[in-house]
Amino acid sequence: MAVELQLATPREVFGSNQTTLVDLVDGLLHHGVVLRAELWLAVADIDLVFIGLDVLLSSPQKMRGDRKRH
Amino acid sequence: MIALGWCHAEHDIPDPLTMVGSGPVGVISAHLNSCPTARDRLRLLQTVFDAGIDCIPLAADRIWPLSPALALSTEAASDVLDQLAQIEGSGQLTIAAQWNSTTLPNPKAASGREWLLALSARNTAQDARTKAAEQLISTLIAGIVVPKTVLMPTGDSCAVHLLLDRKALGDLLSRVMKTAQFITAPDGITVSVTGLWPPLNFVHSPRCTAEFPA
Repeated sequence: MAVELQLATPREVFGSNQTTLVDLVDGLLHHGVVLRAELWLAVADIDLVFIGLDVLLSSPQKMRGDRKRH
Repeated sequence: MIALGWCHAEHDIPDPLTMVGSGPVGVISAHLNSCPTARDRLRLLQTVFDAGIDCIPLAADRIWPLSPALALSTEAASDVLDQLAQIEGSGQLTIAAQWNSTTLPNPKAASGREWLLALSARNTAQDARTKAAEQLISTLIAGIVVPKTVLMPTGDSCAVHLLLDRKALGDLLSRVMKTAQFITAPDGITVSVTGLWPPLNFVHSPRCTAEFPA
C-alpha cells in the first residue's frame, strides 16, 4: 500500500488537535535562534579557558521580581 | 515586551506585533500578554512569515525580554543581514514520520530478569521502527536538491526540514506525493508534510566578537 501523506499548512496545524500535529508543533518550538555567549580567555594567543552560556537577556529588576514570585 | 526575532527594519509588521530598534535590522516584538505560551509565540512568528516577511526567529519555547542587547551590535546586525540574505524568499518544509510508541512491547513483567528481556525487546522494536522511518523519509526526499537538515529521530518520530523557495512549494509537494505513491508504507508509521514554516532550523545565533586587551 502506498504511503499516505498528511499535508497541512501551519494554519491547519495550529488549529488541529490531532496528536501527530500537536507533537509536530511541539518539536518546532525549541528551534530558532538561541542566544549564546562564548568567552575565551587567552594569554599570548594561547586559549586557556572557554566558557559557553545560553544567554537570558533580562533586566535585574525583572530577574529579582521573578525570583520573589517563585 | 518580548522579542520574537529580527527582520529588515523597513517592513510593516502585522498587528499585534511591533518593530523596535534603529538601523537596518529591526526586532520583532510583542506584548507577553498577547503570546503567553510558546505556541502563541510561534503562531505570531508564522503571521510575520505569512505576510511575506523574511525573519530570523528566536526559539519560541523561551521568553526573550526586550533588551537593548537584542537591538544588536553593528557586527551582529551584519551577521543577521547575511542570514536574511541566505533565507530570502524561503521557508521551511517539515516532513515527519511518526509512530505511536504505546504500540511497542510494554516492559512489564513479574521479575527483574523478565523486565530486562521485555525492555530489550522493546528497544529492538523501537530501533526497527526508527530505521524504517528514516528509510521512508530518505526515499521521499531522494534527489531533492535543497538545503536540508540531517534526519532527526526522537522517541516516536523522525523528521527532516527542507529550506525551499516559497514559490517552489507546489512543485516540491507534487514531487513528494508522486514518490509516495510508489513506496510501501511501513506498519504503524504515518507521514506528515507541513509548511511552509519560518526557517526555524536554518538560523543561528548572531555572531559578534570583542577583544579585551590584557
